[in-house]
Amino acid sequence: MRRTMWQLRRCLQVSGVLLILILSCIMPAAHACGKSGEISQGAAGLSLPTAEVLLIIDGAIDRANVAGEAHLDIGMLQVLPTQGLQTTTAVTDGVRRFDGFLMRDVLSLVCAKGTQVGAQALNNYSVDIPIADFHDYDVLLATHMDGERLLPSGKGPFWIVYPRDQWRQLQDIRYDYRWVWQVNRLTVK
Amino acid sequence: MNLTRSGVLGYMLPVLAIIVLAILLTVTLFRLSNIQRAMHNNANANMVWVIYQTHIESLMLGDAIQHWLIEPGDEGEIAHRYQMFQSRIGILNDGPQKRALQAMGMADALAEQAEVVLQLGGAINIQEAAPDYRKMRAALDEFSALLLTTSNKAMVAQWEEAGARIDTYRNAVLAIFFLMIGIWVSSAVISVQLLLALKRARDNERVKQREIELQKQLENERKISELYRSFGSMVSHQFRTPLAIIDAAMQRLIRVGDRVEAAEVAHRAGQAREATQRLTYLIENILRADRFMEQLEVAMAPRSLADLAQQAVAEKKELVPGRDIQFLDETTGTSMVECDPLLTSQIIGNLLSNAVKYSEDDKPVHVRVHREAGWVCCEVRDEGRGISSKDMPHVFKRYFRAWTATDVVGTGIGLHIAMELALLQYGEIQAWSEPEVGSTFVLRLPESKKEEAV
Repeated sequence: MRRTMWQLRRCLQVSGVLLILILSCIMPAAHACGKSGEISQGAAGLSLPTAEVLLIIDGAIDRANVAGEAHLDIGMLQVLPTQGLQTTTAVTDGVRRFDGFLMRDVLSLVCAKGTQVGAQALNNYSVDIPIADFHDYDVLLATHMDGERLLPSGKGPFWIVYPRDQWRQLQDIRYDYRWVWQVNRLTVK
Repeated sequence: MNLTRSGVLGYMLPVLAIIVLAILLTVTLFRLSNIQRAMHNNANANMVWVIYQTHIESLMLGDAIQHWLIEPGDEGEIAHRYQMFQSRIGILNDGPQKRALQAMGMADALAEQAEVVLQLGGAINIQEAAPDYRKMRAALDEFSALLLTTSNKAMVAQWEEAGARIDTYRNAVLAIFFLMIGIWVSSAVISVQLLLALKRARDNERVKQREIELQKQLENERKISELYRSFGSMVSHQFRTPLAIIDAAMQRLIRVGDRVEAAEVAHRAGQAREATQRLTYLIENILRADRFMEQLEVAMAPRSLADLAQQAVAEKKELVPGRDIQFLDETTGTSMVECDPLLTSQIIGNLLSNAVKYSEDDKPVHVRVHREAGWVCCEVRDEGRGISSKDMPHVFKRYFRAWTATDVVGTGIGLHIAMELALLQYGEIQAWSEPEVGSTFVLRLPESKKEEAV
């Protein structure tokens, strides 16, 4: 009995060491931010916007460019990989194709550190979304629907889109209200 | 009548209960899946909110225009509010919202009025042709009034739908409640039937067991009574003759009284003594047989049956020197059997004694050892009086004496013991006989696997 316990502990120790090794290999490659001691270096990495500011991210972020806020134009976002998604929505008919950036990529661009994101729309509509959503699902900050740029006179400049058809648990009114359209500000909390 | 009743209770009722149970379960599952589906369907849920949002944007745009009319200047705020307004109209025109408005009968009126506003708003931010803001404001007022009506209708529709949904759920739950009662009842019926069937099966088993026991007891008693009958008949036959001889001798002595000669007395006494000896012999025989069977010990060993038979023939020849006893070994020296040599010799001796006893002195007795698939056989055949076919099935029974053997002294134990001994050695004795032709008894013992004699 004691021998078995010892073996188990030994096993856990070994796998723990391995996990740390693997993580330490991956983390730097994933992004430059993460360690609190390197804030200034991270903050210095975000350049100033050169075109119209479409999205402002504030709150608990480590990379900013204007008075502690990250003011982003479309060019600054376009360094992120684009992602496509086909799904139905609660307010439109049929399956629509969305293109944009993954929410988790956008947040790591500014080294977000919180657990929630307050998504605010042009009309001041605001909803808090758990950041865990963006890691559990490939949630998009969509810029295009069916190949057409989302405009402020429609649901632009950005629409938060969940992969509703891919996950049954997302077909729920408690997720529907997180589909914020006309997003122009994210506040990390 | 009784049969029909038990058939209905024992078979039809459980089958019916199972069918009812299956149907009830299916219906319940169907109902539940309907409820589950209905829970996903929430068309009117956000209509009030969408209309409210549109109303707000309509009022905000109107407000921005009002400000401009009082204090003309930058059109930026109007342009922003106009974009918001456009966005809300776009949402109202999307599929699900459009259908909901149509159901309320407000879709066309709203679309018409929105079109008026949008037509006027098309010129915003175009310096050369500023829109007619007064007209636009009036159109917006009208649109806002329409939205107020619409939001009332949306509220009513939502409440109606919620009410209907609650009704559906309540009815469904009620139906399932009754279905569950049905399921409970049919399950109870099946359970009771099952328990009853179990009890019946156990009772039947007990009755059957008891019958078997009774049958066994009866068989036992029958055997005992048969044994007594055989014993009685043997005693009456075997003991009567010597007793009669003694009785006759004594009567003769009484009758002649004192006139009797010494020689006569000696003769009669001799007769009586001989008869007494016969009786003693019979009694001894019976007792010895019982003791013998009780104290029996079987020591199995591989032996040549031909050798044992030849030895028994030689011993018998010494006892009855005049008799012609022929021995024939057809096994060519391979007659090994697994047996107790003493007991086997006793069996062959008994068969030989019978052959000698129940055939005339001038008739030969044949002993032949031969093999049959897996068996080695010792056949003892005489040319004597034979046994009737009526008596044949009983020759191996204890105390049984054949009708043809009444004149020969015997207890009916010999063949019985011979058979018992053969069975103890995993062998058997078979008998054939024909009256006035002769009898054949064959001892069969299983062949020994070991080739060498010890």
